Amino acid sequence: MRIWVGVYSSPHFRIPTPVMEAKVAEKKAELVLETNQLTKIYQNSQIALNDVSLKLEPGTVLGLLGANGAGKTTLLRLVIGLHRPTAGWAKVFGEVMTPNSADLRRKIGYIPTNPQFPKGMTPITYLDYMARLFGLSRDTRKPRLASLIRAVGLLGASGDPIDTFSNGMSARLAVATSLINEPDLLFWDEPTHGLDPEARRSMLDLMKGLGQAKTIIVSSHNLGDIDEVCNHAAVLSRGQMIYCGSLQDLKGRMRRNHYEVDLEGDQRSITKLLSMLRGTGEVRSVELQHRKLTLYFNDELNSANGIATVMMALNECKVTLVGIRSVGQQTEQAFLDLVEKDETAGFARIYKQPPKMAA
Amino acid sequence: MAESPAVNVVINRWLPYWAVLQADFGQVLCGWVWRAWVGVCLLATGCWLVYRLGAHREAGLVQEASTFLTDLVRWVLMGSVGLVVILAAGAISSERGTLADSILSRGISRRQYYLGKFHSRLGAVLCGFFLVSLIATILGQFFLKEDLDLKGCMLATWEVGMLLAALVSIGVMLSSILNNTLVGIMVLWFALYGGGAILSLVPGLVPQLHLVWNRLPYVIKGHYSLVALGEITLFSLVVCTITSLFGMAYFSRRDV
Repeated sequence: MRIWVGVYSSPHFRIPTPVMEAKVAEKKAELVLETNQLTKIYQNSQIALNDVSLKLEPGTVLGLLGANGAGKTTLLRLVIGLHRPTAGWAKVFGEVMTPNSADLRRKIGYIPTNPQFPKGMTPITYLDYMARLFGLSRDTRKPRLASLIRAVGLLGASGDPIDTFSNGMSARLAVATSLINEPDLLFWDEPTHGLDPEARRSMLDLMKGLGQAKTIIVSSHNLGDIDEVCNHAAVLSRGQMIYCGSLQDLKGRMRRNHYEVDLEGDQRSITKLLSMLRGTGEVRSVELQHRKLTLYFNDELNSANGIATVMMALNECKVTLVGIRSVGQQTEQAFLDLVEKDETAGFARIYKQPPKMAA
Repeated sequence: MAESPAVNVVINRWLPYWAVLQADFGQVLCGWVWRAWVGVCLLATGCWLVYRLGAHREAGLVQEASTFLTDLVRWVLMGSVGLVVILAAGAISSERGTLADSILSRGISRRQYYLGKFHSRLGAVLCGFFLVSLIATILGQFFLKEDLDLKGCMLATWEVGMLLAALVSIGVMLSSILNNTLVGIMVLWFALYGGGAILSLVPGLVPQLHLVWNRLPYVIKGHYSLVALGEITLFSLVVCTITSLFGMAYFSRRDV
């Protein structure tokens, strides 16, 4: 079921036309979001965010990665003006965001983690309330909320109290809320949290569609979601940004030295292959388990030589290759490697320049 | 397919304020605190009237409607001020967290949010008080000795309403400063009694509460002083203005 696709194909929402695309191209130089040395210390007792500088161009779909307490939600709350930075600043569409920047927030759609809704409201009254919070007149907000309720598949429940909604229905309503003002910039904090597989799939499809026309920052624990939806990533570790750049570049940094090889052949030939591989300089370790070789190469970034050595050894020992694959989900592996490197850097982190690249 | 013409979206800058005010006012009126407050007041009015009526009919004692109304306002307000404190002190702090997130992350400024909350709580408390006062006045006029002056009744209600307005404004300010509603209620309670006791030591600076109560029966009968009423109104306006400005300024600079 792909009901949410209707959100961005609805006539009440801006579909990128050639004229609009030209406008986007003209404004390419203008940054959608810029943070400079953004730091948040709570009550002088907890450093939630430390010296985060980020630049985001229009059309970017940025995935915010980080463990629990890494500072993802704090970063989003700072850039939307719910929190005041202890130091540094955040600019949205070229203007500094403050708690009173109502005009700036009219261009932003936000989904908090586990969104809460006022008691006794129905989707219609709630969306109407949210639209009024954006200052939208009746003639504008009524058609929009009707389109959104239809698009997120809540038409049948539009008169039911929100208190009775399931997680999936609440998530759909949160999506509709974040789009009611037709924002150019979306901040979604763990939008797939607590969703069943079907609802999660719909959410990811929606993000992919919206990502073609809008700038999105998605925070998620699920690295597979980030991998599927985003074209850029920022990694936070203990309040500090340790990576910001394209997702491809992040994957390029991952260790590619762990492979599994499925074999076919007699046991003698395989044993010969094993001893041959152990004698080469390319392979750090090799283990055999039920005709499956687990290999670790010495070169962590370039495993081409190692694979070539394995191929030659297979040919020499007359062992048939059934399959070869790298181990570990790519983005997840890259993320874990980055965090691990940061953790082991120790005092060297003091001298390390934080990433200040435009995403 | 013909392209739809570009629509200029008109933004009403005060609509967010009205939205918060209306939504909060509706929620307060549907909440148990406001209903309990008004219910307790109406129940007390009925019981007090039956008692006075009984004394009047059975024992032949003369029961003046003005005395009935004064006693009622005094004891009902003294008894139910706790619920007014809860209504005021829970205005903003009770929504802190994700619910406030979903409102303050939209196109509303902190000042508008604060004003919307303050005015809705003020409106709810004054509406409740005026409703109870109106019912009590009508009942007293019909069942007890008719010594009420309509203008005096309105001014007496206004006088007590101004005191309630000052209380609500302090409560909402504390609610924007403190994270915890219970702490807010406690602080407001201390401020109400402790502050009142301290202010009574500086006569002339602010209107004294016991003097307000003492002259209430006379005001209800029509023997009022516009200067004294003006002082109360001015005092309330000054308190409301100062607390609102301070509350707005503080709330605009803090995390939610």
